[in-house]
Amino acid sequence: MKVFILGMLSLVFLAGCQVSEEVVEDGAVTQEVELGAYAFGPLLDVEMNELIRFEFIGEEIRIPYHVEGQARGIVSEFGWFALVDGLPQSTRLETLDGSVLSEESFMHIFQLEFMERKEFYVVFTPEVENKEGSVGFIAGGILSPTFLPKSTDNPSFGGMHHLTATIPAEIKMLTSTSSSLVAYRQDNLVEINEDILSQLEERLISEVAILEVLNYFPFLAILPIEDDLQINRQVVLESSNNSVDVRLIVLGGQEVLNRITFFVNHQPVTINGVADYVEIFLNSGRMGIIDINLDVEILNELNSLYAIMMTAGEDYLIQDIFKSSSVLLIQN
Amino acid sequence: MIQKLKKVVICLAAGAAFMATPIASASANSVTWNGGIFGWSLGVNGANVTATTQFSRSIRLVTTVQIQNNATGAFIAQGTVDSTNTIAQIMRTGLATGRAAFGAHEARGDNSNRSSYFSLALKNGKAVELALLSFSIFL
Repeated sequence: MKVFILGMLSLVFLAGCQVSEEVVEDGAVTQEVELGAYAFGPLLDVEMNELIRFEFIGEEIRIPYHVEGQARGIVSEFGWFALVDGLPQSTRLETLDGSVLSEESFMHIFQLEFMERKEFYVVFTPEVENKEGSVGFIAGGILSPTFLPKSTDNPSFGGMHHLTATIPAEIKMLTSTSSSLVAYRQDNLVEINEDILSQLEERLISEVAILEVLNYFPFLAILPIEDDLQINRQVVLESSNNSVDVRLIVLGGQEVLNRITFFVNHQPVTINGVADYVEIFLNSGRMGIIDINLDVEILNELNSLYAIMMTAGEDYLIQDIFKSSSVLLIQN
Repeated sequence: MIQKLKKVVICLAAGAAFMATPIASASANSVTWNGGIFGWSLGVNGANVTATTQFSRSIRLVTTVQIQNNATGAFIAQGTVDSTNTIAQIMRTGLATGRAAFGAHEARGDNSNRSSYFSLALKNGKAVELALLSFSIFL
């Protein structure tokens, strides 16, 4: 991971956090802390909600882009990344005069003051399976990617690592591409059982039937492989021999083909020693239980692990992007 | 399909049914973004936490609120509303002393994104560490 702007986030954040206090009716005191605010998007003259189209003609795609900090009085940190056809892309950032702003990476981290704005080109060659036609492009942001829980005592990431994303753009592939990425296909879906539904009802407290909610908000969770599908618990995973066994459950979703990539410390990791992503055709009312092993050769004492799912093919306007909660991964 | 999605998310928003609920404590903010005014707030009324996101014209708004135990991170409640409108609100119940709430407010329009994040903790006048964050705060 290339750090775009170096800094000791925790110190800057501590010094600059914006806090307000108010007494509420029961006499308790609430304290609100702004964690960050930012905007990002291409520098293109388009109409509101117009589908943006790029073309790939065999040369690198160059998208004029901007990011901007929008939290008053604090430094906002977020990690920017791009997915094409459901797969993470290695991108390079160049200044408008052509010098390299950030080397090739799957994630570029920004730390921005209020109204601090940067304009640059996002440069990349789409790495997708051999195909012609149109594929979806989604840019996303992860709040405070350098945040990690302090210890296993409280492994929650809270509001950190929350995913934001743009609405999808389209890349028209005018020439075929090649990709060395390998899929791990998961075809076996089972009916979502009553226990899972009860847990989700407890968690989401929706007045709409939970199965109906899942049609449009598919739910992803990373669990220990021996876990009995307890989705509301705190998860800590432990690596062994540079790998970790995980269980990913995917509930609901539209009937579209999805691709899921696992990220350790915001970098994609290999699945079962050979594959780069999970490919799964979701189905309303059903769930996939995916037991796999992730290669995690380079680990710190504490690490983050999450999965991001994006629709593949031309169905990205039906269902776009979802992320599991981040979980704490510790090195054995 | 998109129409159906819209219907469902509107149902979710209506299900929260708090539009007329007075918010005892709320911090509202706004900035100019994408040619309009983007506003957001995270408010508390007793045990209820309400996250609100607004934009000056109809746009896709994604608003999330989450409540959890501050010391252990144990999950209490969460909710998300994803709709194309000028306002998106979601409320969850369960905030109490020793718990923290998180709000995420996001607008997705013409392929650009604007988002804000907040946390909210509740404590009876004593120093507390918001353990989820990388720093301590005092209440």
